[in-house]
Amino acid sequence: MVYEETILKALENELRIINKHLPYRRLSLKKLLSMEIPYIVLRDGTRHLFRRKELLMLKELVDSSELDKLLIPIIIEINPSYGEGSAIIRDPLAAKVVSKILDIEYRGSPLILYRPQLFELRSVLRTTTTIMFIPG
Amino acid sequence: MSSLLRIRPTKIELIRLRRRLKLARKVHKILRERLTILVNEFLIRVRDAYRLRVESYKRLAELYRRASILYSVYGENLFRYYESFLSESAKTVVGEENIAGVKTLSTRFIEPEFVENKLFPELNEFREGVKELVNTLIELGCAEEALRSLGINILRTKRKVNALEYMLIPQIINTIRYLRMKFEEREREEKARLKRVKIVLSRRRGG
Repeated sequence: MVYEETILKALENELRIINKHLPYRRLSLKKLLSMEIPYIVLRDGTRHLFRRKELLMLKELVDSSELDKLLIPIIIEINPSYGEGSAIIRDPLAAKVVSKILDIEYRGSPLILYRPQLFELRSVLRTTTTIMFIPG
Repeated sequence: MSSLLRIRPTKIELIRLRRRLKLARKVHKILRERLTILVNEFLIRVRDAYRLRVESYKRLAELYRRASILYSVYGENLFRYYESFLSESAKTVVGEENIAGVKTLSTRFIEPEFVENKLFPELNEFREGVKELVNTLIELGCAEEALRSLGINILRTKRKVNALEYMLIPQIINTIRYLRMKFEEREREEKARLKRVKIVLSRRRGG
């Protein structure tokens, strides 16, 4: 009985810690570009460093008026109930930027990405994107 | 290990088991997705680490060649110059990078201020080369550290997914099936008993 309770607790804990790597607060691209060492604090207390190369790349893809609207890191939502291997980007501006990077047609948000596209995106924007798991 | 969980055969346990099965399936789905992501991140990092290692070897060979030429021209002073560039003005910032919940070290190289040497332009080029090499080596270190952390986490997640897929979920399903059969059996027994009671009562009334 104790063993089963432990397993149950472990399962519940697994769901609780699955999104610990998300940030407390996202920062705008403009603010991150103005920082000497761009970083954010995550929910587990760690400091996540951004690569300046990626930030500059994003800057090239966004209009100068939208620099303070694009929030970094871009959150990629993974919800198994939508089907395995699909990911969603809900932020309209982020969806626009991602569609430019992946060279796909932008038809408004949410943008649905499939597994190969997700990994292509992650290989380009490694530090400026983050994955959020939603237990379906 | 037995394929059944040791629980009391009651309705409340059946309800609890159903809830537990739902939770286990949810966690299993999420962990499987996470595993796929981690494996793919691992593959991306392997490619990166390989590219960086090849690049660093190339840069190193090129710098050795250049250094030997410069050494023969300028002598030992060149290397003191090189040392001063590295040890005094170069800095790195160490932070963390989080790849879907996997923490790895992340380092940023703060480029030292570069004073152009107009007398010896070859030294400027050499310094630039060294700067790029240090940058590549730092990136290589980060990539290999990420590979190590990802590898450990992949193993851990895989074990959890397998435990859920081949142990816990089948055990819960089997126990639920066992409980259902047990309850059906009880129901049948109950019906048979009631029928017999009915027969006995009707005989008494008739007699």
